[in-house]
Amino acid sequence: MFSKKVEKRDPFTVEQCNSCKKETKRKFKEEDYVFKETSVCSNCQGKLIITKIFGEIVKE
Amino acid sequence: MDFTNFNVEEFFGMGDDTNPLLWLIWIIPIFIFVFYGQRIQLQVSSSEIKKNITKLKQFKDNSRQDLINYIKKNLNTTKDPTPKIDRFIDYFTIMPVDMDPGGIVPKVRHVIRSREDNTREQVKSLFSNVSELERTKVQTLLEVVTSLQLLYKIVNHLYLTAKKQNNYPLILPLQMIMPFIMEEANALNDAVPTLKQGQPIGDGIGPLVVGKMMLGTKKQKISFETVFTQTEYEGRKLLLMKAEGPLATVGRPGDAIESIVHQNKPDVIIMIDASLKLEGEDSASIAQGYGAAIGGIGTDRFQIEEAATKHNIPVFAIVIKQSVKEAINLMTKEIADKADEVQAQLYEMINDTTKPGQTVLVVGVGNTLGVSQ
Repeated sequence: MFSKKVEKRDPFTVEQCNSCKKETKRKFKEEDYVFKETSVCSNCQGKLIITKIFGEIVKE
Repeated sequence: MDFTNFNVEEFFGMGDDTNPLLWLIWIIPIFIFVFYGQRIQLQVSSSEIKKNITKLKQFKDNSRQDLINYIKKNLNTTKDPTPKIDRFIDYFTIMPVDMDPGGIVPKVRHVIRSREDNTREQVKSLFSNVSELERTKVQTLLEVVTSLQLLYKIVNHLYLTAKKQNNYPLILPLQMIMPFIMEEANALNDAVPTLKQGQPIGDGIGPLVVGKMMLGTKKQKISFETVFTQTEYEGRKLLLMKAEGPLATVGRPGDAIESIVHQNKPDVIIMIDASLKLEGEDSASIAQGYGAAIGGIGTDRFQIEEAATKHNIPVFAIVIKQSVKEAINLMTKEIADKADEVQAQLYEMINDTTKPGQTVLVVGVGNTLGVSQ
């Protein structure tokens, strides 16, 4: 009755294209870090940069 | 109910027609509680503390094993790191004598720096070849394991002393402080996977905001594991400073600010940092204030206050409130989402406190693990 609910957070990475500003969210991969250039934007061939890495509560 | 015919003898079960057995049944516990009450309370309290001590031992042992496994699995070790790790975990620091009127801060800084420098060299010696990121991660994990070991040892010592002396009052302070110790221990234990994977922690919100402002500028090292750059904002010269990401480090902001203040003489210093929230306060709420927003043992804050006072520079602070757990664990979405709002408040503060042509030093304080610039 008085036991605390344990929240589990899963890590996610948000990438943003530096030219078209399109944002994509994906699961965190090892060696990700904020402001790392990861790949090329599929929309406009701009550079994709990681803008956020955060934990979000897993809904069970 | 009628109380007028109350009979004392009947009430205490001493009348002629009462059973002496019933009388004993309720008089004996009174004697037991009078003479053995404290011991019973000691047993009840100590069983709860014992459960927490078992948990602390698990945290300490698991984090130690995690660290050893991480080193063996991911890094090129020259030999088995276990004996050296076990030795590090038991390292202690003797603080300088605090009755010295001549100034204790430089001595504390010297002791802490010596410890940091030595630990860094010892960690490096474990590997034939290790990147700076991995080295700082191992060093931070080592600090977590050491903290858990210390918590376990202190709590166990207090518990065993109380038990040995059969002294109930001795266990009371421990019982009162136990929830706070367990909150910190849980936070430290949960931080291990985050640190191993190099993910940003809640404390990294200051470096996240300043790191974003540093993008596309030419960075230079200003002090150990600390970077600095210059940019412009609405006619003001902005000097930006943070720890060198994505390493697991807080850098040396005291040295860096001292040096920047000496060279550039900024008109205002603004510090952005994570701050512990009070119970009832919303997590990820932003607050503004005055003074040097920086944690730690106090040597960096002392250096910053000295430099600011000497040059008559006002120091402002923007803090992002969070719990102990949030501060040392994977950054929550709520905190990460506040980065843009903090930046907007920072620009507003710059406009309010300075005029075009003036210089502002903006410092992102905190551990910059997983946050570059």
